[in-house]
Amino acid sequence: MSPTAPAATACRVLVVDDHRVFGDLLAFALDATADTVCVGTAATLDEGVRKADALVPDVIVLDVGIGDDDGLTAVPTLCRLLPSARIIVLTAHPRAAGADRAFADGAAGYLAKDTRLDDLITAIRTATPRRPALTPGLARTPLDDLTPRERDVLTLLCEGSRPADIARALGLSTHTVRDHVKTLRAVLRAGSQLEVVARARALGMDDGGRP
Amino acid sequence: MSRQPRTVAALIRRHLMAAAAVTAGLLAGLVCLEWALATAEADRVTRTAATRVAERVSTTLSAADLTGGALDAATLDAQVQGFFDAGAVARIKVWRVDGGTVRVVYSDDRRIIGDERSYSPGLADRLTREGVVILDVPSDDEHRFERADGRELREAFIAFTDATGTPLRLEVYVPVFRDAWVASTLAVYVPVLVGGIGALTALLVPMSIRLARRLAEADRDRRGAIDYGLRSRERERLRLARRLHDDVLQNLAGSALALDVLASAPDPARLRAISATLSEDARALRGLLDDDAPLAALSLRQALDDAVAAARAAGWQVHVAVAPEIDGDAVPDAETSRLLLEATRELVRNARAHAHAERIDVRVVRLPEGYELSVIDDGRGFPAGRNPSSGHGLRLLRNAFVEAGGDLDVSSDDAGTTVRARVLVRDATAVGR
Repeated sequence: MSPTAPAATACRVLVVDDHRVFGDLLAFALDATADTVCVGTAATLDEGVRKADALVPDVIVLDVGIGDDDGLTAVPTLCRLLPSARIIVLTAHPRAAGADRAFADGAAGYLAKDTRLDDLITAIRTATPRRPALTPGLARTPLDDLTPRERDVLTLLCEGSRPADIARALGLSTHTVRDHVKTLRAVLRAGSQLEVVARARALGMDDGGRP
Repeated sequence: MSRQPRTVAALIRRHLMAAAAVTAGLLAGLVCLEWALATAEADRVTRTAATRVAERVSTTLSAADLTGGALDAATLDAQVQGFFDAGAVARIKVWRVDGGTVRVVYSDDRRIIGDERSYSPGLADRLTREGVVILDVPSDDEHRFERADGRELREAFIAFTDATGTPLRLEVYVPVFRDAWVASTLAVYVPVLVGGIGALTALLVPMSIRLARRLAEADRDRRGAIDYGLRSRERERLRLARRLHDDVLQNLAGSALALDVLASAPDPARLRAISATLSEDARALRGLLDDDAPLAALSLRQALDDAVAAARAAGWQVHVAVAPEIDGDAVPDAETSRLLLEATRELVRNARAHAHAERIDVRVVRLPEGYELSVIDDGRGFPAGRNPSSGHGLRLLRNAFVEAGGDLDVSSDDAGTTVRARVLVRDATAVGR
């Protein structure tokens, strides 16, 4: 069966996702839906930016974990490149903090990959940076309110670094790092450094992009 | 660790303070009690002596007419001489009330006769009420002669009236031994009390310290176990996350989107592709779950190789040796295999993490009644002073082996560490199965 022929006013979508199966299935679903057409897919951020430049889509559906890259870093670039395009961030691991960042950088949507097709299509058709689409139910956690420095320290802690190593890695004094760890323990209500890591993981902290 | 001595010192200090407080309290109570008892006894003695003197002199005093002047001292002297001889009385005075003053009209010490002082209505009241009034002997000018010889005295007042109806006061001074009584009782009790409490404290302090140490140790163990539990959970989560990766999640999410479209516009080829994707996901998930029972398909030797693969990949020389008969027909049951594999993972991880070993030997041999796993490294051994079995992983592992009817021991020196873990198979035929 052939997909529905795109209408003249069809919304032209570029899918940027390194996961081939998902990208193909999403492209198929978009083509099969009236009013949307997938004009291309890209498996890396570079390819995504190139294709966006060449194809000038109306909407860019952007994955977050693209290889070792963070899709969110491309949002400002794409906004500059195509001011008229709307960017929908689609992620397997939605986080309140990620949503904040995406919207701050000008994205029009921040949705989980397990969003129903109807909702995804609605977002692709109608979401704008002024009225963005957001996956409901993203719980705010203490992790969302950490300072960037505290987040760095926590990330390194989660990777198994000791405070002395973290101090070296971030160019801080051991004393400062210990203060940050103390704050993290208070914020996460953790009894020990190890518990900080466990609590952070339980709240959805990951090693640096993807679990 | 560094908190231990502080805790013990504080504990000893608290014990000593409690012992001192109890001792002081008991001593104070004892002194008060003894003082009260001694006073009561002194009063009894004084009352008895004074009453006897009063009985002896009453006729003389009642018959006297003191309007003119002094009493017949010689008669009284003779009547009371016996009390002085027996030492029961120290002094006797007879006062005559004369309006607002009282005056001594008789005493065995003649120097006092004629002394005056003001009338005390309070004393008069008490005499009317109590008959005999007993008081301490004050240190004043009036009592200069009684105080002179340093004896402890009580005085008793008894009221009379002479032949003309004039009120008289008989005052009898009686030697008492209240201070000596209290001192001698305390001399017996205080050493017993102080010594007893001291001995009790000496006995309890070491017990408390042992108890506190044990509690502190248990607390450390508990924290350690929690830490270990968190670490294990975290390791397991990472292992699952690594294996699940994103693939399964993304395949499922993509399939859901596509199936939504295909429900209204079926596309057989697309559906077949999605079916294949889902089958692949199911296989991935099953592989994840089956990881805990690897022996279904693998021999113990292969499973051990799998278990140490990570260490080998990280550059360690890990040699696995399994006695030939075990890989032949004497295959351990699934539970035993799982324990041996878990132990191998933990011990190899320990050797990598702590021992700075270059080579790790893993051996499994068959015993008449079970199996023995040895993990031997050529690392630096456990640091001096650290109990080789104090690690929580090791402790939990030992518990697991003991529960399985076996044991686990660790020996460690400069040349490395050897851990031997034995697991018994209760049904002897299982070994030969």
